[in-house]
Amino acid sequence: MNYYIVTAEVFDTLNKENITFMRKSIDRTQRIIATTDTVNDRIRKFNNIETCSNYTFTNHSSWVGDGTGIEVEELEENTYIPELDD
Amino acid sequence: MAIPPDSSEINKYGIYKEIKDDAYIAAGDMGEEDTDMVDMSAYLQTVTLNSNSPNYVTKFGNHAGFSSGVYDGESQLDLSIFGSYDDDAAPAFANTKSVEKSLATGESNSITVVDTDDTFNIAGTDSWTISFWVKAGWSVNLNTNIHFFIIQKSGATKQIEDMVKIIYAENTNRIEVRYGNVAGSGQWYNQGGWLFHSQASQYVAGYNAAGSGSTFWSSSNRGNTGDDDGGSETDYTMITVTNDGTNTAASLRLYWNATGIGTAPIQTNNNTSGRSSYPISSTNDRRISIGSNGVNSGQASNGQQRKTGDNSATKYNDLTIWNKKLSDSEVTSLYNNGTAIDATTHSAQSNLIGYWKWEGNGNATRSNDNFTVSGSSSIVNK
Repeated sequence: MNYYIVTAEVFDTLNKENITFMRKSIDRTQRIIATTDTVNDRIRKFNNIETCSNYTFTNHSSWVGDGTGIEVEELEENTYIPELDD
Repeated sequence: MAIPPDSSEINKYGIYKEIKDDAYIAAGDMGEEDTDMVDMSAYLQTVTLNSNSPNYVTKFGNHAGFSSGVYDGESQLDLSIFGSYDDDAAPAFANTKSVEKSLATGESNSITVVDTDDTFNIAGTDSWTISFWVKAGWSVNLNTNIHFFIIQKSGATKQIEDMVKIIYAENTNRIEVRYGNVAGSGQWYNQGGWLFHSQASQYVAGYNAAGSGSTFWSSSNRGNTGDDDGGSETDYTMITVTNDGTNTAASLRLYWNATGIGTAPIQTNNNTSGRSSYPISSTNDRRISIGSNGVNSGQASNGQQRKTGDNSATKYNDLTIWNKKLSDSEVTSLYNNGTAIDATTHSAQSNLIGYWKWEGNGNATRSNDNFTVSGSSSIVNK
């Protein structure tokens, strides 16, 4: 699995069927995603799920509203459904 | 006028039936057509006998001849008011407190208990029901999960170890229920998800039940709420999840208050590819947590961060755990039109294995497992 931050515009061009996790930034301009595809047009790439999670804790103001971050369990568990979550 | 039956022998519906009895009517020199106009003064004591019922004042208080549910002893009454009165309704109880949890997770600010006698070793192959009242305290921009309830292996380092959990994902406006276990380096689980802001056919039941419209559930949009104390407060929602033990996502059902939303429109069954060989343990001790993911806050040994957030508080009340799948009617009676009942008087009380009222402390009303409330979590007025 690959973990990225991409812009909303790039996200719209991706194959949604291969995305298992997506979380919008609070300002809705960026997306953190987990996908089986390789995305070259990206803001940031993470080596693994832990570094992705830890990044959101360090930069939480962009991603969650409670001063925390996105836990590994959330990255693993929250099911992305394109027709509902876009 | 005939002597009425002993008030200790009949209930209000009994009065109605007794008055319709031919012998009594004959003694009272009244015909059948007169049964809706009877001098009820002789029944005054009977009417007041059951004033502990939570429906009592509501049922009779506004009818002519009653004041705060007590008959004035003189007025003529329409007996039809007795016909639907539930004299067997469970007594209300002093329900003035709840437990408050900030959105902080982890153990230091927790509401948690460790069960060591296998009372709560529930799994996907068991039938069970988990029900609680919640007063939403989160904002619409939380953009993360609120862990309503979780049972997991005591000492777990990952949430999913021998786990059953109920969360609200604020970013997607879904209640998600997941049960499963670790499976080697991965995990095995079944999960159901219900959302509340779409009126598409598969989601309309949740939309209608929640009543929060197209806006996500939050402290500023609590949707359809019940009345958890029989008073004026109407901020709590009773959330109930049942499992029928068939060990799939389809085995889960959700209720918003007493309204059944049904099986999850979003289902994930991750018990394929050999992962079904990782069942939930029936022997490992369990920890139950309210409002928390149940695992340590801060940085775990593997470098993962855990939540230590601090946001608007959410209140929980009247948690019950049952070792059966409650039926629709049983959930309805538990909800009791929004006035929380003493669950030990519920018709399925023999299946009630855990019950916490949070009236002053975390002690159990049913089971021997008392919650510890620590850190910023506390017992508060509702």
